[in-house]
Amino acid sequence: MKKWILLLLPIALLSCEDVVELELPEGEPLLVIDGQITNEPGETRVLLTESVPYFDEVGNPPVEGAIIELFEDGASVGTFTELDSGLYVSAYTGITGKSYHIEIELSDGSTYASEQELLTRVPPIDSVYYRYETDLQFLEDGYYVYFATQELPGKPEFYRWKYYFNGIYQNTRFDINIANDDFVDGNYVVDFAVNFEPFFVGDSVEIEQYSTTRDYYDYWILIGTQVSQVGSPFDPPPAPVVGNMICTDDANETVLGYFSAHGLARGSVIVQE
Amino acid sequence: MKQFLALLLAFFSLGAVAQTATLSGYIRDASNGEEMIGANVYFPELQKGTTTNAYGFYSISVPQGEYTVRFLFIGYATNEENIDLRSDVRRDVELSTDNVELQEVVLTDERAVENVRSVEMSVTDLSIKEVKKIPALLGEADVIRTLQLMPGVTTVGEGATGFNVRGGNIDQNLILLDEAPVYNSSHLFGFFSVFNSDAVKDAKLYKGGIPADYGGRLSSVLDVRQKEGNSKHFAGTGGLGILSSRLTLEGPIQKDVSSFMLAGRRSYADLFLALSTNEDLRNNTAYFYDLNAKLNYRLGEKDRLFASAYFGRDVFGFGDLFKFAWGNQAFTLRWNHLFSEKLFANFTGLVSDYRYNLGIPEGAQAFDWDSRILNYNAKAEFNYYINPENTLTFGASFLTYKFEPGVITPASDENLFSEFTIQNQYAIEPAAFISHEFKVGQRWTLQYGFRYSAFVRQGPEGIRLYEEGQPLSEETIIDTVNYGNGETIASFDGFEPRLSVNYLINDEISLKASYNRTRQYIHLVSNTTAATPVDIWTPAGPYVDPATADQVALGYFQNFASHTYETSVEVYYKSMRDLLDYKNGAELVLNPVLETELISGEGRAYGLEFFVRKRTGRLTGWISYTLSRSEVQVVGDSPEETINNGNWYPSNWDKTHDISVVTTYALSDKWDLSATFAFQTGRPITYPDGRFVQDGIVIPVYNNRNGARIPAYHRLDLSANYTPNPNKKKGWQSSWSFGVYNAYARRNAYSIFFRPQEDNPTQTEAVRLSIFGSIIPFLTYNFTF
Repeated sequence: MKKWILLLLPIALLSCEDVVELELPEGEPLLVIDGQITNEPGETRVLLTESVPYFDEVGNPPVEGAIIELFEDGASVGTFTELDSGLYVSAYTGITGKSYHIEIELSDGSTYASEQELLTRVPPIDSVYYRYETDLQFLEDGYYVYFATQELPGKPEFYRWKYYFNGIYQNTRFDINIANDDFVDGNYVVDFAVNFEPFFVGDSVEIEQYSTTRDYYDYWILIGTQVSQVGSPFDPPPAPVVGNMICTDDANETVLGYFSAHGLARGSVIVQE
Repeated sequence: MKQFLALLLAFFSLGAVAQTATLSGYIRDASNGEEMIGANVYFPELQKGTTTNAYGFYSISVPQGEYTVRFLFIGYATNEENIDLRSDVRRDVELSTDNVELQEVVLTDERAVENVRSVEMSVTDLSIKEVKKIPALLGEADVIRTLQLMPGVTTVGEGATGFNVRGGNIDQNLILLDEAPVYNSSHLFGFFSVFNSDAVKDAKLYKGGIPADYGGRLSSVLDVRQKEGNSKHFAGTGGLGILSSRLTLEGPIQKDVSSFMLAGRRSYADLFLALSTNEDLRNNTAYFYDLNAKLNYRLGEKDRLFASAYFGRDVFGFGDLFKFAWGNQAFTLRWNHLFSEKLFANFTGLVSDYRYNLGIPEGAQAFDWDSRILNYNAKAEFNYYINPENTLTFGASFLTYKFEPGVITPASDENLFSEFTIQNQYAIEPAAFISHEFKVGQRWTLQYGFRYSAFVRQGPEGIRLYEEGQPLSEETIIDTVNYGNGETIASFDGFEPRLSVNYLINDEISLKASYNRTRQYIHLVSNTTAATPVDIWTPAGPYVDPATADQVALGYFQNFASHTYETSVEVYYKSMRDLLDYKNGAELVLNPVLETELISGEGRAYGLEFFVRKRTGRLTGWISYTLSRSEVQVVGDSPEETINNGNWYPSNWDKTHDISVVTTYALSDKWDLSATFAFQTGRPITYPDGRFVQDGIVIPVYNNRNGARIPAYHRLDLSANYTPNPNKKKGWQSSWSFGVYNAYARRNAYSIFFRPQEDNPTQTEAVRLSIFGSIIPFLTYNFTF
């Protein structure tokens, strides 16, 4: 999708951008959930925060003292413990083919719940490898990392990838790597490019391949359009980013965020001479 | 129906009492033999007259006798003749512009002042001469950019594809080039239109009171006619500009019998790219071209044949990384036939083919995506000039569609993509229309009629069925029904009544009113601020209804100082139903289940338009002011199918105030000076009222779509045209045109967007995007021979 930006080259020659001062409306603080469960131990966690005015300089405050209960196929499998301010963890590990949801009670008594999420199958990462490239257009010469995986044939599959370069999680707004298998169903996918700036000898790359539900995929596609497809004449309209959370004691209260379930596969490589 | 016909017959018999004779023929421009559209024929003794049709033909039947007859057209010397009309007379007339250009008053007869007399309202007629004089972006005289300076016509932003008429979306304009529909009127993503001004004879925009012979779009008709080709002598026109060069050749094949016109235009930014020392830049391609061609042949007094063709294309390529192309092609064959001196007929057959493709030329991700809309259209239209009071227009049209939304072909062997096709869609759109123009006494003119149109979606196609009562999504698909070749999948039809009335208060003042219903069976699927050339069109069908609109308009027309100044004030109200809208975050590109992303809404638009125009004398130009509102309401069955809680909200192109001042001053025979000023209220935009974080990424909270506005837009353009040898009438004549666009370098906001700060992604900022951040000079050399 990044390549779309190049479309604007002829326009970019004449256009310009300036940072401007604006008065923006300030909405009520809203509860924000950022949580997941996977089929790997130690990956079940929920972060509770509040939304802030758009130009706020402090950051999103954590929501402490909540009670969060985890459910598997509708049956409770335990509660989360608050590890750090607003960060809640559970030792429970997800199982492929089962559905998960959480229920939250805040210290003020208001209650929230997520919708059921199916933990879907994930194929392993077959190989992670690198090449010294000298002939890539618009990209500098150097080491580029790729991976290969066997896409699973049959029903529609949705994926998200997270990358760690030298142990640092890559999570700018241009690092939302998400895909469906519409064009590659059942294919052996090779040369899936990881980086757009070259690596050096000694750099390490870790890749996490997550299977996701269609709802989660749609949610992140929407986030992607809202945070990275901005600043061109061809922007999609700004839209509310609504996840899979609801307020169970007040249907009119807007809750933000998502509690998701994933199959998780990993791969890694260290660039060598 | 029977009663209607009886009524018509009653009207016609009124004129048939006295013995009559018919004067008919063509009115042409003496300099090049081009037929003139909308020229007048006037009988002062009878105070009656008529105008030429789109092919330059006129016919008027009057009681037998000898008459003085005037033939006139604005900007041309009037031709007055004594004609013995004791029997039918065929008279082809040529009008000339000699020695009239700078006279303050050219019109000797109020009859020529169509804006007051004619029953037409909400119409903008552009003369190409005017278009060429006003300052133009990069020196490219442009029909559509000029239209945007007219009342009721706006755009979402500088360089955006298409135009918005009276609050309608860009897909609601029927754009015709020699009758062939044009699906993308833009070059270079929207900066320029596909109409080469050297090849165009006339451009007319109907914003309301749309005549019954046009249909298929809700908001407007832009009828562009190409030149027929000089039938007197061989001639050439051309120019060299910063962006493109153009050349038009025209001339008789057989004098006064047949002629041709051939025009070409090509941009050459890519030629500069090729000179670059940067290899990446050098491998880029970026150009557009147009080819216009026309042939016409007079087969005796009664028959005439026209063949016209248009080919246009935009091509962008970024090395091996990405390529992108789109273009319209059209081919039209027309046959004019006079069944009698009172009955003019035109038969048209045309093919229109809009294609675009996109792809990655090399590597593991190489693919080609091809998409296309193909139309065949056969049409017959008759003008029956019964008597000066009654003119009947009727006809029928049969249009076929083939939509190819997308075929993805892997373009290399070691490819990770599979071949992928989105099903083709087929449809037919038959229509019939009849319209009666009726003059009652000296004061009233009435034009009423209707269009009846139908739209039938046909197989072969597989149609998905969804669970009842559930929002459409891939999860709620329960089955697919396969329709065979030609089998009806869905059909729609309806009447489109059209009515216009003119009441002439005196020779200089009239009141007009109009009502029209329009139906639109195809929709442009685009949810970006400006449409992109890869946006697909989708036909009405099982899950998409055709859109309909009703518009009423009232107008006051008055001319001052012997018709030197034309003024008008119009008010309109338009309501639109079943407009297409999109779920939040909709994926519209290459989506095989597109209907799951679509929702539907309603629109309403209303406004007030002021217009003053001076067409003669040293100082010419116009002032236009529009006060308007355009709103949308989307209420669906579920929250994801509802926008802004179901409240009315302003559309992306709602601009409260829109002012344009366009002036040209003829300083001398050699120098013309022009200035254009435009002011518009900033378009609506959505501001965030908060932000939150998911997985470390800062996300804005948007609640109120289009609840704010970008700052107002204003711009001044200046230009001068210099003709070194204005009196040279033969051989090579040249002129220079130069000036500046955006003279005071205003950074007009195209949009304001929100993003994390680059060096501190946890903090956010608002950024103004300006398409043009500076003065843009231009220089064009024009020539004729």
